[in-house]
Amino acid sequence: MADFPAKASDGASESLLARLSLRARLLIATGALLLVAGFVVTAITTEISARGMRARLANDLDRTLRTSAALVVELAVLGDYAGIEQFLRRRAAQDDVAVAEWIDASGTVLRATFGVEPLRIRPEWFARLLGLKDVAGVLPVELGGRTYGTLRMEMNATEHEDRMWQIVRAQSLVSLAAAAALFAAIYALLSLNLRVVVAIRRGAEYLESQSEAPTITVPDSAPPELRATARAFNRMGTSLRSLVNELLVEKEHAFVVLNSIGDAVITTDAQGIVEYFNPVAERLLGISRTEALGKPLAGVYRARDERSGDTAAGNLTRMIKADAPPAGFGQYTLASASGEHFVVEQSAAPLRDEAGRVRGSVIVLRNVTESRNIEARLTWQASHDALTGLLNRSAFERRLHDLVADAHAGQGPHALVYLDLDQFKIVNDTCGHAAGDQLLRNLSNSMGDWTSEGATIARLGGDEFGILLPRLGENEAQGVAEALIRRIQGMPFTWEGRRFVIGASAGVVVLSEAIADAQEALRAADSGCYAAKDEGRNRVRVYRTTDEDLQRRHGEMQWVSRVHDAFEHDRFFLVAQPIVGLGANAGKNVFELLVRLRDPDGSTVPPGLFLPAAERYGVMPSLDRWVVRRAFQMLRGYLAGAPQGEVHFHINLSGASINDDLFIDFLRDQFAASGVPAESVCFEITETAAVSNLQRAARFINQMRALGCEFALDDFGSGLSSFRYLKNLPVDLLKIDGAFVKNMATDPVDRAMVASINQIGHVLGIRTVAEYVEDAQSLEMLRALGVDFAQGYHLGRPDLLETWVTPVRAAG
Amino acid sequence: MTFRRLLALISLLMPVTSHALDAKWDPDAPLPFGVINQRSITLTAEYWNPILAYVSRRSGVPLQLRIANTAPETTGMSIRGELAFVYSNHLFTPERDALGFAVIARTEENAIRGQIVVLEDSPVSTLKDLEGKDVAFPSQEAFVGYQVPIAALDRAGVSVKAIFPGNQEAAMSQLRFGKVVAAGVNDRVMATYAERERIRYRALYSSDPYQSIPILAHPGVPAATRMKVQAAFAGMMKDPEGAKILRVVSEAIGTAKVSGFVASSNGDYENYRRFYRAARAAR
Repeated sequence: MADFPAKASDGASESLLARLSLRARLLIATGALLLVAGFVVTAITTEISARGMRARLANDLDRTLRTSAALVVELAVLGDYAGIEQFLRRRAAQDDVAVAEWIDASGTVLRATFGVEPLRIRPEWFARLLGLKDVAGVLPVELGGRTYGTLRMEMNATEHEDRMWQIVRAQSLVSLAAAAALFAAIYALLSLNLRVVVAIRRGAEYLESQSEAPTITVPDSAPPELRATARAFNRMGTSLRSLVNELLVEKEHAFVVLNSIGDAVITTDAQGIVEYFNPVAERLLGISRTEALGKPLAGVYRARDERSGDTAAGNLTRMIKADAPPAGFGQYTLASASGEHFVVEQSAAPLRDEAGRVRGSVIVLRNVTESRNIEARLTWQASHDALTGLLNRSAFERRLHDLVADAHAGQGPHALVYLDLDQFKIVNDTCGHAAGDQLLRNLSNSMGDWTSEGATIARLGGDEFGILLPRLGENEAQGVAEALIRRIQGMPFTWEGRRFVIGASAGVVVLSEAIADAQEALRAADSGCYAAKDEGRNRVRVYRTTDEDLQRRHGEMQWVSRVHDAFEHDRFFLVAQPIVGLGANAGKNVFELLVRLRDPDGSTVPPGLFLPAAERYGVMPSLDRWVVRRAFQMLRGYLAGAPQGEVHFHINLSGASINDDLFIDFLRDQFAASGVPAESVCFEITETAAVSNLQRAARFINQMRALGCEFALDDFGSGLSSFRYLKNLPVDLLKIDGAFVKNMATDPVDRAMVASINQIGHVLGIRTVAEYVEDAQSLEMLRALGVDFAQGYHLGRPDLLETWVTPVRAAG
Repeated sequence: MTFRRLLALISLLMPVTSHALDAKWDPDAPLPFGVINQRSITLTAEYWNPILAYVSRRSGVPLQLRIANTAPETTGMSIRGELAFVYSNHLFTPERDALGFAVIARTEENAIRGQIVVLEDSPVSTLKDLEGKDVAFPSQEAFVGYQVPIAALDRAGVSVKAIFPGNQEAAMSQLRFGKVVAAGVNDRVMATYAERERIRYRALYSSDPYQSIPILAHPGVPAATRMKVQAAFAGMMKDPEGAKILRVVSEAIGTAKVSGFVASSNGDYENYRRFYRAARAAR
């Protein structure tokens, strides 16, 4: 067996019983059992024997009396008293008979006693214990009806007692010998087998103190139970040691994890006394680990619930004491010992022992101060415009939605103002975005002062603003809007020495039953604003459901769905209008392709009906793409049978497509896929579209021109444009607005405008095109002015390309 | 003073008619009634005590059984005057006859005979065969048991070695257990013994009949007393109580035959006296 160092046991305070060894206990128990069993057996056998002896004594007495009587009777009949006396003496000489007497009929007594005291072997106490008594008996002696006398005898129990004593003594000696043998056997067996128990104890002590598992070897002669116990102990030792090692590794691991974790971790006992404190907790709570350990939680963790004001430590202590379920997450404001304040997210859970009783708690604190700040910022940003600090569109729409609902509930009237700056693009384009941004910030800062109290102001888009005016009717709202416009006009914007007067147009709508929802309210106000712009800007237009003009504009919106429907059913088609070269340009086959919509009833819808809706509601990029694809398809078919360069197509592009970054890629793909030469295509963009985003338009034009395309500036002279823009727009053609051409024959101003535009164009190296040429006189004038191209009903109405192909070819 | 004491006093004062012996029993005690030893003492006591108790009751004369160890001793007691009454047939020798005992009753039985018996399977078939052999006899005093048979042997010229165990049944038991080859016996006692002990025997010799054993009164017993006792014995068989006692005691000694007593007198025993005289003369 392995010899393990024995460990002294602390027996000083143990009771006597506890100090008794197994050997002593077994020997004492066995001895006591043997003693009791021996005593009981002896007592029972003695009692049984005593009873038997008492009976035998009585029998002996009876038998002795009878046999004696049989012998005496003859002597009595003979009257031989000497013989009787002799007989009595002989009888009394026997051990068991103490006294023998004969009393004859006349009363004469013959008596004989045992003269010598019997030799008593048994001790007196045994006699008392046995309880045998000397017996006496009398028997009348009679024969043939005559009584001769009475025989009386006393018998002594001593002999029986002695015999019994000898038996008991012999039994006791045998029992003692057996007990001694049994003790010796038990002692020997225990000594032998306890060696295994001792080995197991030493193994356990070894396991306790050493880092490796002990192995107990038991001789084959040991009992199978002990061998199995030793084997089980060895297995237990191995698995226990392995478990302990694993636990140590896990403990180390947990220690490292807890020390390196980003959260503060604190554990307490059931009384709320701090038991563990990791480095993050030290930093967060501003107290060292050594200071914190052993202190009440409330002393180191000073945090309050932001809402209820309860202290976190108080809540936790109550939770532990009440054995309440885990407190879960909660946010607290933590005041660290170093004076800093943090917002912490606290999660806590009770630590339970195996019986499920709360034996402490674990508290994890996460510093969420930073994320709380970010969250607040994000929340603000989600509902506000970053540039101006006003509400953004989605937040505004939510409030509008609430106000519409409020109006539907009869809590109105409320009003919505849609405001659009008129000159903002000019500031932006000429002075750069920084200037535009500054302008917007200035206006936003002031607008709050210029509106009524309770108004909600939001920036809805680039230079568009929305204002909600609760509890104001139509007149009051209109008054507010007009005052606002006046204020805007009255606040000139200066940037780098340049002074701009800003204007604005506004649409007003009163939120009522007639307005279904927030979107409709916005569309209505937008319509009003649009109408105000149309009417000459710097004014307010109130949207009323009865207003025909607004109704019409509102009806435009219906066109959006019709346009989408036309896409779906391929009801768009292209027509071509010839652009005729004058002078040196004569003979060139140039056509402007124009889009048309065919209604389901077969009639052709003029572009003036659906294009404004398409422009206003963002359908133009899609329509432009359709036109380009369709035009390139037609052009490829046409060019297949014509020499390159003999035909040019003018294709109109909307401002939205110019601003669409993906559109250039689309065009490149189309040129590449169709094989149409770029030189055959001239794109027309309106002056308004180009000016509204001058830089972007210039970049677009440059990139397309690099491919070989040409560009024409359409409707030149109709808008706000100034000749100065032409320096920045690298166009190839100027299309003089038809309004000047149409009346030039009769109006010298118009004629002068056409001449000057033509002249400026030529000075800049740009060819010119006159639109709306409706008579020969105008044509001749244009020719005389040196305009390069003419276009108009006089030269050809827009029609299907097929109608022009042949004449053009024939003309060529 | 009781009547008996008075009688005793008178008897002392009056000169006796003969030289008959003096009564030597306690006048205040019951009268001693001797019984010749035929059987063992206890068997004898068992037989006689109930009878004597009855007779004492009936006659008003208290009687008490007296017996000695052997028949001669009992006879000796009679001769010495120690017994008021005696059941014996040993008192008919001329000397004893002179003592004055008077027969008052006898057992109501046929006459008895002396016999010399052997066991049935014994090789002995004649008296001659007994020459020199051991033969048991009750005692020298026994009349039919010894006196009569020995006289027959003498006559036959056969000399045997006589053995005296003391009483009739003792002699029979000697024969039964093979101690002797033959026994001299009272034929009635022998028959009773053989019946009780289930033995078979045959007689080599049977004597002439003699009266059964008598009850004799000591000459010192007053006549009135004698008569009362005689009457009680004689009436016993007729008295249901007496008959019952006789039946019980007969069973005690092992015989089915129940015999009572009848009054008797000295004259009934003349053949005894003749036998003795003849025997005296023969010597």
